[in-house]
Formats: sequence, C-alpha cells, structure tokens
Amino acid sequence: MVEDVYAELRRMADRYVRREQAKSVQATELVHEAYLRLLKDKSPRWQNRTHFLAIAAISMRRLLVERARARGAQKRGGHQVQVTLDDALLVGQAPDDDSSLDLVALDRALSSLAQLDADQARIVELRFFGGLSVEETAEALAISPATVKRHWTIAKAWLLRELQRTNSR
Amino acid sequence: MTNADWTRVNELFHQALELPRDERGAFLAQACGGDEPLRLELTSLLDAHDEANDFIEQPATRPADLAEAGVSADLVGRMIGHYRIVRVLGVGGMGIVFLADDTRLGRPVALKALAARFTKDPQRRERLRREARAAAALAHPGIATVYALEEFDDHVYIAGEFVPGETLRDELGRGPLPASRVIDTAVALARALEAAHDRGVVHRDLKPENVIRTPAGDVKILDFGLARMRDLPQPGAEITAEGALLGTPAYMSPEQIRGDAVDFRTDLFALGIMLYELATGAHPFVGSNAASTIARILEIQPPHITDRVPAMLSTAVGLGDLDRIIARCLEKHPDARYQSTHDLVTALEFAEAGGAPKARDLAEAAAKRPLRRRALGWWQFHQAAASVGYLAMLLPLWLARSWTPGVPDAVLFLVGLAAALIATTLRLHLWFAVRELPEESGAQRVQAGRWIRLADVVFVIVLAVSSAFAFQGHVEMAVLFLTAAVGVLIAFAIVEPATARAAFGRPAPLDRLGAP
Repeated sequence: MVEDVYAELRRMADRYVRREQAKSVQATELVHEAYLRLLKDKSPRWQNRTHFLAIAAISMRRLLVERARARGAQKRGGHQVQVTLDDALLVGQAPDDDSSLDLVALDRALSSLAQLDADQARIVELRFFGGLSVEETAEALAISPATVKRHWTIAKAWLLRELQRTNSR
Repeated sequence: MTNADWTRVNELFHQALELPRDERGAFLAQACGGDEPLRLELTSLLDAHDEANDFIEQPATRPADLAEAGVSADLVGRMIGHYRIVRVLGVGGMGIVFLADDTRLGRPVALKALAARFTKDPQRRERLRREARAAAALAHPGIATVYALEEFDDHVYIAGEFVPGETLRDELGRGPLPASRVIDTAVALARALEAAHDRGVVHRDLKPENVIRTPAGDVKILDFGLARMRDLPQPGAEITAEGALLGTPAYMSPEQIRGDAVDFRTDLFALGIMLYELATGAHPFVGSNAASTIARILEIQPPHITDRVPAMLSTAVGLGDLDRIIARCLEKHPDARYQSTHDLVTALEFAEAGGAPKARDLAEAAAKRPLRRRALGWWQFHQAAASVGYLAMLLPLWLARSWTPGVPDAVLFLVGLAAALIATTLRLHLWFAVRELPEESGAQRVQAGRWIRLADVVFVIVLAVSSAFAFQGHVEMAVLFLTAAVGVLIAFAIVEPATARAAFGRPAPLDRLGAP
C-alpha cells in the first residue's frame, strides 16, 4: 500500500518537473492529488483519511529525502543540501542558511530514533512529513494527544541534537 | 542505549522539564545517582530542547507562502519597471501581490508578480497574455479592473486596480451576516459574475480571499480569469487536473476536482459555498485537511442553512429563499445548478424583494417593500374578517334550520357549518403559513386556495337557498342571508384577490383558481 502511494507520488512529481521545467513541486499538491487518484480506486483499502494520510506521510518522507539526496549528489558530494528557492517551495523553509534543513541527515537521524522508539519516530514522520496535526496523529496511532505531545517534545530535542552532532563532525 | 534506557531517559526528561531551568542540574545529579552517561544524555537533550524553537514545527508539506514572502520582503521600496513597490499585500498560489505606485500615471495599483513556474514556457506566456486581455476587457463595478500585463527582466506582472477594504474572509472572521445582508452581497456578486460570464470569462478560483468589501460597502471580485492562467496545461499535455489542484481545494467544484471540463457553473458552486459561509459562519464542506475537504465536496450534502444559522437570525425574511438558491448552486452536477448566471441573479433579486416579481430596479423594489408589508396587513385583516363573518353567520343559519319545507331539518345548516369550518380553518392556516413559512406560503396559497374557493362557493349557495326559504315568513332573516351571500361574493371575487395581489405581488392564486 505504501508502495502504491509512493509510486503515485513519484510519478506525479516527475511529471510536474518535466511539465514545469522547474524543480518546484508543492508537496501539498502532491498529497491532494495522490489522495484523489486513490479515492477513485474503488477497492476499500483506505480505512479512512487518517489512514491515508499516515501512509502518504511515509511516501512524502521518501520522496522529499530522495530529491534532497539527488540534489546533494549533483553538487558533488556533501550531504549538506544547499536549499534553493525551488527547494524552499518544496520544503516550506526560508532559504537562508541558518534555517535550511538537511533533510538527508534528518532522515538518517529519524531512522536511528526509530531503533530507539518506533512510536516517536512515527510521530515525527506523521507530523513533519505528513503535515498531520497533533490530534490527527493521535488518531492515526490510537494514542492520546497528550502522549503525542510528550513524545514529540523529546523526539524533537533528540533529533536536533543528532543533527547538531552530524554538523559539527 | 537500550530501549529500557530510553524509557528511563524519557521519564527523567519530562520530570526535569517541569522544573525551573536552574533547578534541573541539581535534580539530574540526584536522579541519575552517579550514572554519568545518563546525566550527560539528559543534559544535552534538555539543551537541545531549549534551542529547538520551531525546529521541524513547520511540516514539510506546508504550503510555500512563507518562503515566497520571505523572498519578497527585500523588494519593498524598489522599482519594478515604472512601479514602486510600497508593501506586500499578500501571497497567493500564483505569486506575490504588492501594493505599488504607478509612477507614470500616479495611481496606486495592485501588482501581482507571477511565480516563474507559471511564465517560463513561451507558449504558456502567450496564453497568459491572451487571458489577461480577456480579463482586462471586463468593466464592471463589481470586478477589480486589470490595467496591464507587464514584463520586466523576464518576469511577468499583472497590474490591476487596487481595492482598499477588507476581504470577505476578514468579514467572516466576525461571524455570520444577517440574511438580508447576505442576499444584498449575493446579488452584487452574482451581477459581477454575470457580466464576466457574458463575456465568456470564468473566474475558477472564487473564494472569500478574492472578494473585497470596500469601505463604502460594495463588493469587488479580484483576480478574474487569472486562475485560468494558472491552470493552463502545457500544449499537448494531457491533463488539467493537476493544475486544478493547485491551491486550496475548499472552494473547488466537484467537476474541478475531478479534472472535468469547467465552465461558469463552477463559479456558481464557489459562490454557493461563500454565501453558505456568509449566512451560517460555517463552511459547508471543509474538513480537517485538504483530503477530507475534497472527499466532502464530492460526496456530502450540506445541511440546510436554515438549520445552521443562529436561532436569533433563523426567522429572518428571505432565509428560506436563500437556502433554496444556495442549495441549487451547490448541486454536485453542473446541470442541476442554474443554467445561466442571469437565472441566479433573477432568483436572488426575487429573494431580495421578498418574493415579489422580478425587480429590475433595486431602488424600486426597496421603495415597494414597506408598502408590501402594509398590504400584507390588509390581506391578513381580510382573512380574519372573512373567518369571523363566516362563523357569525352560523347562528342565523342555526335559527333557520327548520324553515325548510321538503328538506330534512338542519341539512342546510350542516352544509353551511362544514363550508364555514373549512374556509375558516384554511384561512387561518394560510395566515400562519405566510407569517411563519414565507418560503412555502406560495405553494400553500395555491393548494389551500382551491379548497377555500370551493367552501366559499358552497357557503354562498347555502346562504342563497336559506334566503329563498326564509322569505316565507321571515323576511328580515331572508334579507340578512341575501346580504351575507352578496357580501361573501364581493369579498372573494374582488376584495380577496386585490389584497392578495397587493400583499404577494403575483396574480393571486386565489383569484386564478376561482373556476375549476
């Protein structure tokens, strides 16, 4: 199922890029559109929209990280991805150096976090890559919003510290 | 670190967070009990927490507004062509809108800088020019005028009328509007749409953010035809659906969402949503995120606005009409909506005039309204007087019940009683319907009118026959019956149609349905 959503998002992203001759894709567009396409698909594989969004979050993470990685590779090595304006559109971050976010490193740190605490990693995935609210995340994981907030707080701190360590290395 | 360690770290982390910052060190030293790696882990996490601020708080899937706004901030004060940028007015799906000074003509303009992705391809740019030309041809007080399409340094800008005021979105922030004001706004918007649709220009992105209420109270629609440019596919490209999905889906029509052909009826759908929002303060379809909104637009039949407006507004005049008009705009299939914007305008004007015939002139309609209310009073008085008169005639009929040689006693009385009760009950029902269910009263008057008329005729016959019988020995009663019969005849043949016409404006159903 994840593969389906992912494949759909990929295809759409590629088509956008080809069509627009630009590298900018608004992630929200992709998610709307993927949802629509899969909505037309009659088989009841989606229990509800939270379920769908939870799955879209995984796909979104892969898509964004893959693109960031490709961009990084183009710039001859170095995982610190230079965020261009187009990327900024994609990631929704202002393109000044301080706040530019290394998606590749974040992805790697998130995978480490998943080893430590799968729930916390999932919460970050849903909230950051999926754009779900605290309440929606709680619904998707069948836990209380308060628990989501607690997990989110420490996961954020942990990830930031990991990223700082990666950078200073 | 094992998962068990991590659980411990979690506990201590949250306990420490509860404490004031300067007590955390001592707490950790004590809680970790000599476990130095644990203490260091916690200290670094707490430090990171203090620095985290908005780290990953903005989701990766957030729309790009801020990025664009951030880029644009340094443009203020600079010249673009002969326009001096004054400030950023807003950031939309297509680019940034500035308030700028047209230094040649010395007037303020809204200058929209289109994001490069909409203008890179030369063929797209050509179509953009054509669309801008069509939009510039629209001249209507309800539409913000497009002045010029400018191209500087490989960027495309659209200069248009700067409309001061607040958007309907701002207005909505203060809650629903009274029905009469919604209708006034609706008429103005529908007329503006009609002007554009007559010229073949469809807005396609109508939403409260695109409508400005000027300080004078008028409404103006912004960005006419611009959405079209945004959605233009590349020549030869197969799908427009992607384009249609740029931006917020909350005001999209089902056909737009599906990627089907879109025409003016899409604007009617969006207008329906806006009017619904203005009347109730709530969006008919919006869900907690874009995907659920889309699903609801495609599937959900929103509740009647009459069920959603606050109780104090729910008896407002015109709300019923408005409810029907909005429901028609919100039909899922475009064929079920109004088939011309003119029809919508007519329906709204009808509602505005409180059910009067098509009022071509608003001022005229407004002038008529108090008169009509007075006329309605006369109509009601007539209904009441007729009812009282009928019931009063039952007493003489009872006294005369046995003056009928050859006919069993009381037959005439009973027939008269039945007719009087039917006529009276239905008249009181109509009175109630006109007062409390104005939107249904037309149909009610047609239906009930038939029976009232029948009962009237029967009652006249009863009176006439009674009068004929009474002439043998009860002349004064005979005269009374005859007079009453003539009175009823005059009342239903002349007075009632006149008061009904005055009150409801149409050829009164009671009048038309006189003969079977």
